[in-house]
Amino acid sequence: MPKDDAVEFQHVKFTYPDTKKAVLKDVNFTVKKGSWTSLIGHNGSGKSTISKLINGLLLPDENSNSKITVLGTPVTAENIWNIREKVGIVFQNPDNQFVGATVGDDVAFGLENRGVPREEMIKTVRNVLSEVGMLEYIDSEPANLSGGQKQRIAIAGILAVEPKIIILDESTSMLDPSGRKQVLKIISELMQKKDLTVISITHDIDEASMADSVIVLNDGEIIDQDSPEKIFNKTSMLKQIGLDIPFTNKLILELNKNGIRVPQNVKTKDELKQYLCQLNLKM
Amino acid sequence: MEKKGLDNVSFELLDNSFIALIGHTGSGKSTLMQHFNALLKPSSGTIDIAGYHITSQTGNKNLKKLRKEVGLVFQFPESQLFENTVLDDVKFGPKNFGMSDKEAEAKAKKWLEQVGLSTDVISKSPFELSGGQMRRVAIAGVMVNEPQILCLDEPGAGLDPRAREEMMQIFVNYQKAGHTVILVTHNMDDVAKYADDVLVMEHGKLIKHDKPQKVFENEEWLKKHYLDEPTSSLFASSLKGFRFKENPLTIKELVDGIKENVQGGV
Ligand SMILES: Nc1ncnc2c1ncn2[C@@H]1O[C@H](COP(=O)(O)OP(=O)(O)OP(=O)(O)O)[C@@H](O)[C@H]1O
Ligand SMILES: Nc1ncnc2c1ncn2[C@@H]1O[C@H](COP(=O)(O)OP(=O)(O)OP(=O)(O)O)[C@@H](O)[C@H]1O
Ligand SMILES: [Mg+2]
Ligand SMILES: [Mg+2]
Repeated sequence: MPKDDAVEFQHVKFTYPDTKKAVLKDVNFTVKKGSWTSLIGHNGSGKSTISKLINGLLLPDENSNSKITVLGTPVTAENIWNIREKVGIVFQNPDNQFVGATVGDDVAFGLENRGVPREEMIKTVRNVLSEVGMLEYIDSEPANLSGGQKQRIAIAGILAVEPKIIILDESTSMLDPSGRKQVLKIISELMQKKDLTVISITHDIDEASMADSVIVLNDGEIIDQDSPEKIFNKTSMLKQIGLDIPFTNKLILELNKNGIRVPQNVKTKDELKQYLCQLNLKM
Repeated sequence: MEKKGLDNVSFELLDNSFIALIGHTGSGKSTLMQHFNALLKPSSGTIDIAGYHITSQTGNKNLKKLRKEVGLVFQFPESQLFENTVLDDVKFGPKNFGMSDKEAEAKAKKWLEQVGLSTDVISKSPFELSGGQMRRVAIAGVMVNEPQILCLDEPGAGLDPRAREEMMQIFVNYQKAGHTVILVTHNMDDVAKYADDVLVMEHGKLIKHDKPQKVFENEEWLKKHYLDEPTSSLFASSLKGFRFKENPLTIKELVDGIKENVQGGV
């Protein structure tokens, strides 16, 4: 494994207990250290399964030649504690993640486990809570929060322990648009500062477009990995597997259908705006 | 600690309409939704819905018919799944409301198919599913009761784009067939495309109740309340030199408006 890889999957096969069909068949990909990677794919395609394999919550089928490496360490039963120190997952349902009786306890939990001194812990907890805009809820019970507030706390809990790799499993799905932008901004800033690797699982095309690299999963198989610009221009592939295409592409398709021919070389939102404005001036 | 979840909220909704309930994180949308079927009761004030009159004194008895007529899909689907298999879970409602096992099963299968769950999933435990699959089971489990008023708390969260689109179409068809749909969402494009009527919440207060065209009319107001515009109207306002008769809220309206401009129809 090259030094600059954070995660590497080689021929990974995975079958859930008591089921016949493998959910992942022969999955191969790498995630570069310090990069932001998006994982997209239809419901049930295996995204959350992949995230749990990365931190050893699940292990690949035994009778396979599957190999998963995280920051140079093979993910095996002996190594999982070591791996989980480095990989933080924000789960799809935040309720499955809460352990503390109050928001403050909950966020402190991971730090306590790592033996962080009390004073430093208190400081960190207050810091991350204020970053996600939830400091005033420090004494609330996690169960008594709104959906979006729960997601903010779940994210704060992971930010507090500063893992090397953060996996966001649809962690912003219930945030309002400005809240989502704010949270993603915090994470991308942290990425710059702390050599963090981010893997984001999302159905939101704007969130996926923030990535350096997009992995496309379909029925447990990786069918593409490329830059967001390239992936989101493959509109027929995306449509075929049930994924979204960007607003600009949708608009160009509709304009063409309605007799306004948009030239092939017009691709981005700004290019389209410019083209339409020129067209309008000619009238 | 006593806190007001809802603060002096008053409105009337029309039968057979498609209502969107919007507002930022923690504004009180889910709290309001849970009042529609008396999971929560008002500390003061009254609610008239599906022939029921709900007050702070309303007890937990005799609410069965209300729960059938007002169906609620929760924000987190796991919290409403509990049976051993997906099929049993969706059958639970109809059986509970008095249907025979056979009828309930046929109905459950019909709705499971509608929400796009394949037959190999329906014998699994609902807790051994992916997030989007759980969401679909929860939706089927409520729609199977064919409630008069269907309340959906962010039903699109966790669904893949095609499923979201299909599910929205199912909800619209359901409304067209003579039911009322109340949808909580952060997706302003869905509000523009599907809603007849919009409720906007902020800090437990209802700050606007109007048609989508009116709600999205004032950019300043939207900004002030941290609400987004639909993508199409955002795009339209960034087109210099264009004039739109009406603020285009959907791609279709946007394309029509662009056409009028460039073909000199205005
Ligand atoms: N605990 C489990 N036991 C058995 N099968 C499971 C279990 N969890 C998930 N599955 C199945 O494995 C497949 C992949 O699930 P996974 O949760 O990885 O999908 P996903 O891509 O995250 O989907 P979504 O977008 O809906 O969250 C699905 O068909 C699902 O039904
Ligand atoms: N069970 C509860 N006990 C006490 N307070 C609660 C409870 N549930 C919600 N709240 C509080 O009431 C307010 C409104 O919450 P609600 O869940 O209605 O918000 P929401 O508009 O649905 O937000 P979101 O978009 O994040 O789901 C929030 O500040 C929340 O913390
Ligand atoms: Mg998932
Ligand atoms: Mg809510």
